[in-house]
Amino acid sequence: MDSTQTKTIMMVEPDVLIRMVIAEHLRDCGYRVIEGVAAQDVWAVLESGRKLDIVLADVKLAGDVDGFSLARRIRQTRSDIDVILTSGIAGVAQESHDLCEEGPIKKPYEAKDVEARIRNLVERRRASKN
Amino acid sequence: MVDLVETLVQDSADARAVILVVEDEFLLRWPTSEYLRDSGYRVVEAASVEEALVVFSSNTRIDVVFSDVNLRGELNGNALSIWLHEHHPEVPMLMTSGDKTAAQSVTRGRKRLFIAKPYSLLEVDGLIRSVLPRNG
Repeated sequence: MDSTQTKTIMMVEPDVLIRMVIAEHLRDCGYRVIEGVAAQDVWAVLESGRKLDIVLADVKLAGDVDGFSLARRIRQTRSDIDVILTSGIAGVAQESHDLCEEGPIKKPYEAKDVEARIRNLVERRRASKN
Repeated sequence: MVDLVETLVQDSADARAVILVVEDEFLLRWPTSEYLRDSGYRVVEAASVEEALVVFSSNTRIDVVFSDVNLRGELNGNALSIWLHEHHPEVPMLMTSGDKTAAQSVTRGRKRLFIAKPYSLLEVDGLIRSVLPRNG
């Protein structure tokens, strides 16, 4: 693809805090990011005709279809789209760090710092519940 | 380390207003959020009131909430409006619905605006700008 064109990442993640932090991180690195919570959200984007370059999905998703099934179906039907499956905060932080290393704008964030940020937010959420 | 975490949580150099979009319909949340980002806002997306409350519990700065009234989950937009009034009275809220009964149930006031669905994104942008704190 044209290297000057912004790549679009669809992030499918049911945890709002992880989604918020990682999506913003990837936007800071120069990607256009579409946020979804379920596999059907990816199909809705593709049916709209919008081009996706990368699908970054957690193995656990909202809805009936998990990340494994989503990844399998994309790989079978859309070989033009790269699929990255993640599990847990550390995994998604590392993947977003790696994507930023390849992205148009390199931000000096370490995966462990992104992970620490999410853990910090999750802790605050727990603390506010008690 | 904590400083870096704080920097990542809330970049003080980022002057963009932060809009929390609360909408359970993906095909509305996606284009609305994308339009608002392209208009210069930072946008946090929540698929339910429960998710919106999690965002607030993380101390993420939110300048304006744009929320649907009828939402999946136990809480609706009116419940979020009441919660916001109690916990973050300074945060204005723009509410939306395509349902006339729901529209009538919405409390309106200085920090509570309403726009009917289907809405024009340009109009949403205008209403958000009108309630942004910097505009008084």
